[in-house]
Amino acid sequence: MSEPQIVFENVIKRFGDTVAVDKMNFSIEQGEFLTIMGSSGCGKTTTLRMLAGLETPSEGEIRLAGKRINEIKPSDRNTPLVWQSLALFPFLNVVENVEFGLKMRSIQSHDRKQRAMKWLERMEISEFANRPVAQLSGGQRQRVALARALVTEPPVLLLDEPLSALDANLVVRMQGVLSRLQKELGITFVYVTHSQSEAFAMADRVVIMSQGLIEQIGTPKQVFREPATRFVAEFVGSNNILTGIISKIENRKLHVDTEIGLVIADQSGHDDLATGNPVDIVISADRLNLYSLDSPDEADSSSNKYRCKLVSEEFIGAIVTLLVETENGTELKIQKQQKDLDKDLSNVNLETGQQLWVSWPGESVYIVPAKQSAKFVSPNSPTCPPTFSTG
Amino acid sequence: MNLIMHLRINADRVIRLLLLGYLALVFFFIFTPIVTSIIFSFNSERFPTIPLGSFTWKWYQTIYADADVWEAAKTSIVVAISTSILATLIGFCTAYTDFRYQFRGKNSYLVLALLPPTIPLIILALAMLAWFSRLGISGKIWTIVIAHTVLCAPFAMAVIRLRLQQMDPDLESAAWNLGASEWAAMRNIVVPFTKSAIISALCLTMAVSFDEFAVAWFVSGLNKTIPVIILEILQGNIDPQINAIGTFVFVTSITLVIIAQLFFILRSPKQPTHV
Amino acid sequence: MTWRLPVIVWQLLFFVGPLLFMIAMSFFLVKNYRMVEAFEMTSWIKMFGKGYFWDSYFFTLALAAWATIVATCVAFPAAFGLAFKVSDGTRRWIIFLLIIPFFTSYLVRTFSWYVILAESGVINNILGYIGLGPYTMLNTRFGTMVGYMTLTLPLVIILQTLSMANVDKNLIEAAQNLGAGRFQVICKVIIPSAKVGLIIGAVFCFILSFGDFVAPYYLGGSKPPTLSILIIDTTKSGQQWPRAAVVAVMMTTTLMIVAFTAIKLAYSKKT
Repeated sequence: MSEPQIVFENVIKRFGDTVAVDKMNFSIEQGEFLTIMGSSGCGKTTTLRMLAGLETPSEGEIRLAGKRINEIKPSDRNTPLVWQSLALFPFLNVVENVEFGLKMRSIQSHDRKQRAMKWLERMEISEFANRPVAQLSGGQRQRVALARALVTEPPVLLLDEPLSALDANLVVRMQGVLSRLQKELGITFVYVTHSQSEAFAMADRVVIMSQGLIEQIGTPKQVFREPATRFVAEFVGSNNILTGIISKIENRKLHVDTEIGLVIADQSGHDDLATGNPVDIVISADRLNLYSLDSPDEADSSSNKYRCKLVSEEFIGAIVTLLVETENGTELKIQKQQKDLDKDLSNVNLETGQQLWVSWPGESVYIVPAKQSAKFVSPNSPTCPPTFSTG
Repeated sequence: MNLIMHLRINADRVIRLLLLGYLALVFFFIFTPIVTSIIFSFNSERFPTIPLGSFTWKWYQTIYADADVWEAAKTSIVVAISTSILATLIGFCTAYTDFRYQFRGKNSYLVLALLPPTIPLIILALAMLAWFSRLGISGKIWTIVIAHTVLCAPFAMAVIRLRLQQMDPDLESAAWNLGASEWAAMRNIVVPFTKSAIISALCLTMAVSFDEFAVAWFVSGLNKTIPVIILEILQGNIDPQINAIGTFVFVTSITLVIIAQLFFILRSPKQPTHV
Repeated sequence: MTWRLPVIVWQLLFFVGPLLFMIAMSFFLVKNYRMVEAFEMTSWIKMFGKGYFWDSYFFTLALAAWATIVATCVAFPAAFGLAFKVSDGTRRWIIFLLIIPFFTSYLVRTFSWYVILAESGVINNILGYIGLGPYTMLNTRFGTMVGYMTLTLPLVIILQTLSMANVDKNLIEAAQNLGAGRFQVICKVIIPSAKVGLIIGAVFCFILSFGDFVAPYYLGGSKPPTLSILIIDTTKSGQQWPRAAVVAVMMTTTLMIVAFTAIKLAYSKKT
């Protein structure tokens, strides 16, 4: 029998009176790219540090390759970490930094140098081998940090927001480097970030944490389309969330009274819901459509259609983000490819204050039963920039 | 309005000049004894006054020929070197503890470690001599070393602590994470990082020990240090030998302090960012 | 614990140990010129009963207080100029220069003053050329004060400068915008903001002057002796160590009260 490579079993970590990680249970398969995501202070970094041995769990057990590692010292684990600050040794040059892990394992100087150089070549920074790290650019230092961590050929690589200090262009490039590296090496990457775009661009699975608890584990698509809790729906910033009560169930359709009026959703997967249940309704921003008021009804067969007026419009590349306000004042967010929007609104010249129809099909509405989410609704839910891209 | 502004700016200039003049006066006061001592160390007159006599190496020759001065210089150097090593070691432990650990009673610990310089030297001297006598170890060279170490360790602590302040706290964890034991991380990361401060601390504590007279006077017994010799000459007649010894001590101490400062200021030369 | 324990043991053995032993010693007895361990108030009663002890005590207290006032006032304009009227680079260099005196023998500097201030010394010789003097400057309070300033002034200037250089410049500009004059800015903004540094400078000055024996002995003529000279006299020229310990304990207690009061004052909210 083989259990997953990494297992967290009822892991609790307390710092004094505060619980940083609460009863955590999950596992990571060999070769997986797992991203742990959440706002600051949610326990994601603590989780990573426990894996590296820099924190010891207060309760529970962490197993690596079937072996309990709670008591193993960080130096005996071979779970290298790429630090947010990079933590390169400032008084050593590039190759000495990379060699460090090998030196600590008492590998001969010649052999050490060779292996370090091999990694520098792989990271395309071998020409800087004898430079002090202070002379490198942000991206180059990132590569040194990766080479330094990977030189001992570890089974797992831990990454703690490694890209947070880089500028946007470089982040996208380094994401590519990391993804490719992970596939080529076939080792497990555990990647902590607060950035959705990083998580969704690279991860096989995403763990979303809040206040020390796991809110959801799933593929990026699952997390995006089927948020398990209201917190997740809010955290994944490209969602519209409405609150309501089920007023009628008819032909496997749920009729929900919400702040913008009646919303009709498919019941599939929610057989346990009954009339009178409070629910949260999640519609991701790219599922909403806009039509001009005078467009023929046939153009849109959606069951949900509301009058609204345009509040703002913002372009990020080929993606347009629009905010509209329904008649009762609720704001809805719409994200569209520019070309799709042009097709739907071919006869309209968009301007702020413009009256439009906003609509969405019943099958695009995702229901989160309110009782399930009530526990996790945080008073000040994090605001995330709408940076999700399907590309 | 314009006139008032004009007057104000003029007044500013005058005040600035007055303050700088005053500053020069204060500096004159502070450096007069130092410069005087150096000048008189080359002056031929027995009683140092003006007009100056002729230039002479006489006083240096006198101390050069004086076996007691040589003996004292040897003691001073041994004491200063031993003190600097011990005090820097203790200062490093204290600074590292403060940097790395949080624990109950940390404040008391720091007070205990940093208090010695606030106790008047004469009291420390009395207490040390009494204590060493009680323990039956008084009058040895290394009792001066112990006493000076107590006195100097806080300075070493301060210098090293300031340097540690600049260290990314992740650096040490990163070393463990890459397979370094606590000792290996200390040897390969913390010590190299603080190397400049350690050298500064060595020099500073050496200079303090080299100049200290009150505690050494009480504790030294027969092993007189240079400052103790100066004190004894001072108790006798006016003797320009003091100026010669003083200049010699001054040059030694200042060299140490300048080395310390160089290491402290030039610890991380700004490197051009590679483009 | 590995790092903490050696330091704790060292400090207990060679710092706390001696000080506690000194307190204990003040209760010892001297019999036949030998110290006998005991617990008697004899030395305390003897010392407290002597007029010269109290003379010394209040004389030392007054001298140190004067030194503190003089040093604070003399240093303030200099520190003010350094903090506000020179560039950061110049300031760093000047502070470096101010550190130099710490590493020149205080004894040698005192000797220099002795030579300068003496009856036939440098100053009187110069004054003689223009038909003045000679003035007696050695063995006076003035001489003592010169010595104290030699010892403390650089430190007080450094501490004052650092504390004033750290005063928020915006605060000063805001005050000027509100129409505050120079004097008001100094009194209402700079002094309250730099209070902690100013007081700490004064406390150090007090501690140093209170404990110093060189200036009052060689420049002040030791009339009457200060407490530290009393300690030296009692120990070097007699076997009355318990009495010296009494003096030392009194000194330490006084210093602790002064330092504690001053630090409370420094960190109190009211200005």
